[in-house]
Amino acid sequence: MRTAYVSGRVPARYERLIARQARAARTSKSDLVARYVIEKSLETEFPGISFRDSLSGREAYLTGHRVAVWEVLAVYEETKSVEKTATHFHWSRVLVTRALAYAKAFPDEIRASREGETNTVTVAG
Amino acid sequence: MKSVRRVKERPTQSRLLADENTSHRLVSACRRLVKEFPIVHIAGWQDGSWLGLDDAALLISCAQAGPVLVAFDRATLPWHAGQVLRAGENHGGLVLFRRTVRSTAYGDQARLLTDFWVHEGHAWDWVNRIVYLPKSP
Repeated sequence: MRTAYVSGRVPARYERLIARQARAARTSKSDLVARYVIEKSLETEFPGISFRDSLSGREAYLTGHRVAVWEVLAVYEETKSVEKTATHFHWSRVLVTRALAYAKAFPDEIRASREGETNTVTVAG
Repeated sequence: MKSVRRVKERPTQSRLLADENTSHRLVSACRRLVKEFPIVHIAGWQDGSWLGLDDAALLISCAQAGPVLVAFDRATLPWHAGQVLRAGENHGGLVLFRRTVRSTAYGDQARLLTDFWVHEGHAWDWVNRIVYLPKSP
């Protein structure tokens, strides 16, 4: 994947905060800043989408809900209908269309999230 | 005069809490099979305030409040359950539908859950226990 350089100045207190968060996350400051830039720009571009930790890495999900984008897509693939998917979750249609828009824009990421969550061996039986 | 508090569900009678990746239709289907089956959807529990909880917070909250969480199996949830245990906390138990169970197969989900709960699950101590449905032969 091609990368590009982004820089910006922040008040010193935020530099200290990011340095502390990078240590806690066992990553570099630059990698953490890159993640913040990517995720915040995507959250702005796709309102209603946020990111969280999962076994397969960072995962897109619906803000204020517990459902990942790949889970919405999975239900949509079964129902073949935005309306029925919205009914399934008892949501407004707009939440479903937002999730599907993100899934359409980042199909490889969503596929990886789904595989990471569903191809892992179960912990008990 | 006694105050009347309007509640949509009866949380104190519910032992099972359906996570948001399950449908309200699972709850309805369970109650069609077993009248007053003790399940509530997370959107109707505590005025929906638990919808914003991450996995670890939800698992710990379930341990404190009592309900067993019912969800579709995604690897991160049992992983977080393990993390909760390693951190010295308890979780309230998990019932997970295996990946062979379709998200929209509400009738199948309800039959699996009600059958298991009525015949076995209701009598168990659920603290830190995880069960997958359908159960292994």
